[in-house]
Amino acid sequence: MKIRELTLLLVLLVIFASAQGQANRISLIINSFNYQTEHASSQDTLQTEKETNLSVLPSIGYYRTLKSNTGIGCEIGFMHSTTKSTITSKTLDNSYNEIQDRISPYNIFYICPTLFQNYYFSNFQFVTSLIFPIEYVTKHEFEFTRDIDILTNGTNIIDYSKTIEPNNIKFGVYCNFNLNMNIYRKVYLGAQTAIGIDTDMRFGQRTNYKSVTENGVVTTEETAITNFRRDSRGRLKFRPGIVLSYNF
Amino acid sequence: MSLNSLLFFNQSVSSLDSTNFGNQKSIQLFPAFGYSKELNRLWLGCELAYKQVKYNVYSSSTASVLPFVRTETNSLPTTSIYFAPYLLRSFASENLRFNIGIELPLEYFLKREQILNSWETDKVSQNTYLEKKTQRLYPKILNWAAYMQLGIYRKLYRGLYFGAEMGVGITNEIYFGNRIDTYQEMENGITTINRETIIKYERNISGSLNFRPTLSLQYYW
Repeated sequence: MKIRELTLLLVLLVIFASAQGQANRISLIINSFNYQTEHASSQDTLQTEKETNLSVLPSIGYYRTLKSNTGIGCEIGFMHSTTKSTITSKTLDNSYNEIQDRISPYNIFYICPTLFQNYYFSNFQFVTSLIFPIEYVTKHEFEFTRDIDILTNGTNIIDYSKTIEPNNIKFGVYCNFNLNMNIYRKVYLGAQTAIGIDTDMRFGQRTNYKSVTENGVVTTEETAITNFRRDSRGRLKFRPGIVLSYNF
Repeated sequence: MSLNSLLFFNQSVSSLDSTNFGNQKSIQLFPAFGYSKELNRLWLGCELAYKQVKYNVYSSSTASVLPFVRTETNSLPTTSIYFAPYLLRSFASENLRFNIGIELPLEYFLKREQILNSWETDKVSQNTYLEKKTQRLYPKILNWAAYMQLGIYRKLYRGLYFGAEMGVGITNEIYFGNRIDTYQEMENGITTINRETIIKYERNISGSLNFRPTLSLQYYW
């Protein structure tokens, strides 16, 4: 998949190099953004919960105007997201302690070829474009551990499960409207809204591993493999973004 | 005047044998009132609003083999105040007007609650013999954001314009204070369980990139 993306990027770079441009721009774009940090505990401190997550998909794009304010461009980006949560609970006499840990990471490799047209008025730049975003999702995993200590009979039980999702490709065709305001010399800041059809395809295998360990001895262990022969879905979708551009 | 969000539903359903019955209704209307003044080609303004949401669900169920009717109610009352300063440029052409600007909305939730009650009533004697009451009182919540707004308006009459705006920006939400969860269980009128848990939020901040659609009626003079 990486070879395909690199080939596409190379083809676009060759087109850029051979084109006689009029005005070009480099943009930094935030395509998606989510964060959460939580730390809560009960007043008697018998239960505490911590959760953190940061998911940002930034991209950098180069756009070359070919003629009549129309042109082509391409964005590339990368996102690494990890959601971590820990819940601890115990009884008042400390005879029962439980710790639950959840970790869910994934990576996104992002590339987005673009055909665009620019319009300028007053201090504003208005860009209408047809964009073709492709997201390749890898290392999508869920890991769960529950560690229980029962001190009345000295038992320790560890429930563990790990699911490795198959690789996933998301691709779409969107009509994008981007309005930027000139904030300093050739620097523009703005927002974009895209409306289009997004398709999601999974291919490969899902692996699910489970085990139960009692006092250090593995009592149950199983692995299930699900083979995705066909799994694709699509929908009409919005796609917001924040854009910082430098025109030259 | 702006309509920042609207959601309503009103549903009443029952099974053919009338052993199941339920209704739910809610209206979530978020209008705001604003004033802006042109200063050196820039419009500086502010919107204010007060939001009160009521969400109520009522359902009851039974079966011919069961000696009781189970009834459940769920309500989610919310109250918030809203303040949104903004800065915009406005372009007018014939009957149309385009607004481009930045808006910084702040919403402070005075009350957000979840109340869930259920009880079982004997079919013959009509006595309530098992009652459960659950209440979750959320802490104070502050929601703040920065949006880039783009609006298009059509002239209706003289200085009166009607149109829509779309905002794209980042919204943040912070919880501060305690969440109080209470649970009470009663059997034949006698309390058997009465529990209160206080959850303290030492840190709870979340945010995301978001859309914000608005319908607006404006008068220029």
